[in-house]
Amino acid sequence: MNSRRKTLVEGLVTTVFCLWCIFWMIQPAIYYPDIMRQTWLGFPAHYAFWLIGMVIAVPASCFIYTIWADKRERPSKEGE
Amino acid sequence: MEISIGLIAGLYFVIFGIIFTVASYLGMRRSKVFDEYSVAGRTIGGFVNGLAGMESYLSAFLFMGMTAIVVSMGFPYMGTLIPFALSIAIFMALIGPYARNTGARTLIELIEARYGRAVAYLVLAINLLFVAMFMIGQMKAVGICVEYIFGIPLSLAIIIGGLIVTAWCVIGGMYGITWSQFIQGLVVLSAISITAASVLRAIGVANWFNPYLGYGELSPIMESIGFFELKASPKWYLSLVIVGLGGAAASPQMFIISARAKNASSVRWALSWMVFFIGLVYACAMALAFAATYWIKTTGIVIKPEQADYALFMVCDALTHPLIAAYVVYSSFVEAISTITTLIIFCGTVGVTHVYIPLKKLVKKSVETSDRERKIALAIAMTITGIAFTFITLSPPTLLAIPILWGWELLTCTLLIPCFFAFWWKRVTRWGVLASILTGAMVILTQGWTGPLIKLPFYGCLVFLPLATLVNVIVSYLTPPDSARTLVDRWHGFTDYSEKRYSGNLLPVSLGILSILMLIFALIGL
Repeated sequence: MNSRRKTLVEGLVTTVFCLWCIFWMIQPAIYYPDIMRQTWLGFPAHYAFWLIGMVIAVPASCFIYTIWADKRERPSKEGE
Repeated sequence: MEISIGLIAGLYFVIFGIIFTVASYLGMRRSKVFDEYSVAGRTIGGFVNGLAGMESYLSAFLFMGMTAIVVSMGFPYMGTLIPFALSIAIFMALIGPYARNTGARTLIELIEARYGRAVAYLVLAINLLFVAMFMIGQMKAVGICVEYIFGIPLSLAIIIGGLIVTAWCVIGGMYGITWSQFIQGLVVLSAISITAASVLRAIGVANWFNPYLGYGELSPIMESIGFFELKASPKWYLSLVIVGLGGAAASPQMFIISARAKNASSVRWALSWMVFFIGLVYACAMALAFAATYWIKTTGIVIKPEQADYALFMVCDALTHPLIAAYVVYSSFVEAISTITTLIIFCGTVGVTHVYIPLKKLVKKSVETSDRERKIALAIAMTITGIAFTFITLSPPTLLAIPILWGWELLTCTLLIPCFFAFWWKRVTRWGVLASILTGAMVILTQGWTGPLIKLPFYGCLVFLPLATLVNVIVSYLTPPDSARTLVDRWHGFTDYSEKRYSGNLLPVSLGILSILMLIFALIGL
């Protein structure tokens, strides 16, 4: 893979990662207030989504992203 | 015999005070040169940095400010926690590891390398304004805790608390601060979990042993008392989300987590751990806010605005064992001090690198500053910072969350996009950034402490962030590219240079279109 393509892949993965994380923040707002009356695990459903996003989805995504980034890490004079 | 919460919290204060003093002493012994004193020799590993980072990031907003504001504003305000957690993930992907590759000790050094000295000093001024807003809230929290523990007047409590925290910073430097923050992180994680479970048990929740989810069964009752109702417009909530998402990602605390890490990979691991810990803490914080509101509403107790910051203490006092209630009071104290220590060392470091050394060069030309001299200057700068903010806080605001949110908003509008572009868009120029920072800084005209001079029915960042972004993109295209753009490849880890990398138009054009849409949304119907 040439250097420019690597940069594009890196940018794309990073963008998808950020959008995925942001999704967990905005999706209750997308469904609100129709989902308000539904419950899940005893919570109003949008609230349960928030909890799952915070405690599971986003942290897990961060670890996966970190492992991916470590594999493609380029050496840096300052950072190493 | 009834046990006094103040007495127990006082015991925690002494026991952990000794531990933090020992950590500071060990930090002092380890800090032989300036870099060890200011950034812990860049040796902090991912796990320790993650928990310590969580502690420096959360601040007193978590325990006291958030409970106070949820009691006043209801459930929708709790949603502000989510962007605060997400901002770390965004920082991790877009800024943090690359900031570490720059080798900068602070955000100001990074800005100077990328955009030049004039922009760096403007950013320094913005940061000092942010620190002032933020520190006042934290110092007030320290004062509230010391007042609650020892029963002394708030002013005296602020002075005592402020001086103790300053002493820990000056003695231990970044090593002492990081180790103390790691221990403080353990204290807060345990305190918030135990307290949430204990409060849920006291109000009769069957799944009290699972504080992360157990309070869900309160939802029908909470709904009946109007806890979930929106109390402001969607624009207001969206603007608050932007404050949480943007401000934190451009804060000096986050850059310090990067600066003290071993390398870029270590930054990512630290921030991943941080997101995980913060997820747990925020879930419990929501449980506490849920339960506190439930208890206040069902008992009919009236919390006056000036008492709102004490709401959590009142709930714990009434519902939990004194050992736990005292632990919460003490945890609130450590939450505040961990943020204060980070901001003090930030101010001290920029005081040396961007005030003392340049001034010395100006007065005594060609005289080098020795490492020992820089260390002493840093200690003096931290002492001055700590004492100054202690005394500034002697007239604190009613709610400590208010100046904290103003501070985040200022950073969002001024620094988020320049920090992001520094690594991801080579074509950005110092003139574009300068114009964008000045445009974004106008958000202070919409904040309460200026009147506000411009009244908006939502946080001003909904207007000034897109406006600043547009100005940045347009002015950058109109001005010649900076030579510092050649650093970008190296910061991303490339050993060679290619003009085409990070130079595309897709990113600035997309952000420009998004900004226009945001502006239209904000301004329609005003």
